[in-house]
Amino acid sequence: MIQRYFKIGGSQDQIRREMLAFDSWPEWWPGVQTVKILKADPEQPLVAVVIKTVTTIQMTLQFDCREVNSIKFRQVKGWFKSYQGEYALTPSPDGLGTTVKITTELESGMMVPKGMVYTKLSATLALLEEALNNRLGVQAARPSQGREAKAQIGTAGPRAAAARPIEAKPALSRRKLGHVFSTREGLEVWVGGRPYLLRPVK
Amino acid sequence: MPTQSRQIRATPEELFSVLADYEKYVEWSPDVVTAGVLVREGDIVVAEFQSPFLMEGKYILEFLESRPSSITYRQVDQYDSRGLQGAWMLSASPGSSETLVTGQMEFRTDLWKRAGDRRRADRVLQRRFDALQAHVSGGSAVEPNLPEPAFESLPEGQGLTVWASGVEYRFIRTGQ
Repeated sequence: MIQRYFKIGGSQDQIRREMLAFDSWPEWWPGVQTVKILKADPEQPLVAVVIKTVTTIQMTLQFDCREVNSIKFRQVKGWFKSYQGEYALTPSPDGLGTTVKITTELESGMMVPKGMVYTKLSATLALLEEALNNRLGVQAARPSQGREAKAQIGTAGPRAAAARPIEAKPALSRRKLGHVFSTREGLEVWVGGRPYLLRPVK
Repeated sequence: MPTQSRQIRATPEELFSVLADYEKYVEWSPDVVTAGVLVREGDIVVAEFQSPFLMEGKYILEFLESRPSSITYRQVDQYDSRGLQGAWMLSASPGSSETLVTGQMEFRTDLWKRAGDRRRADRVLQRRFDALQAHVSGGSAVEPNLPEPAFESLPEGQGLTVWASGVEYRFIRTGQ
């Protein structure tokens, strides 16, 4: 099972709308070359998709859109032995967007190394975060913005905040700029998350 | 899994509150440069971090909290046993105002990098302990009043020479 989480600077409705606009996928979804809607059922659409990764993969995917906060999918015909998963959308705890949780289960068959498929799929999902943010025309509200950013949301609550478009806000990090530790070799200074040794030159 | 323990003058509840406030890791943990919570569902929290000394790019940890005695975590977007995992365990010392804090941290990437991965995790864990101790006591082992840094990182093998009060100091990046 592959799990991935990322934060999108948009509301659940916006994300859901984009993800279910199958015709537009080739414009923004990483690797997607063509999409053909085989059954335009609003609850359980059937879509044929061609994806270019290491090789060209053709799949027919059945989607299940009956739940408001998730989109389930499973391959009914295609390259993988089995392929299914879910995109779950929840308001970010800081109220500055939506957290997308992607769960994917797949069997690639005996001849295909699992590690390779995993690495490639993970890389593709990482690209999806950026692509989806670009598609929505927003920048993801980056982490480490501290409590100041949360305070700007007001008292409407995270659900209400997540339901409207999000404007990217400047990071208001209160990160400590440096940490110094005394060691036998000298002073160990951590700046930007990396250690440096500071010692007198003899 | 590499393990370190230390007695820290604080209650388990106080320490748990610090360790479970993931967004504030940037304020006390020397290796963390960004942190943000993505999901909070009961005792499970998913948070995103950047620690350049451990790995390039961001990584996502899933925390399982058991207040106030333990927090376990593992990286969720990794294949097999790769990635970062560990735990914080807190137990009150009877008859004292101190808490025994046990930290575990294991970091695994490629097989041929295991020794380096272990050294990095050991070092980060040690420094997190140092910083945690200083943070809860309201101070720092060596409290610098550093100005805005002129650099975010130095290439490995290169140095930066600084003269202060007639003494020449040299910053040397001490490896991954």
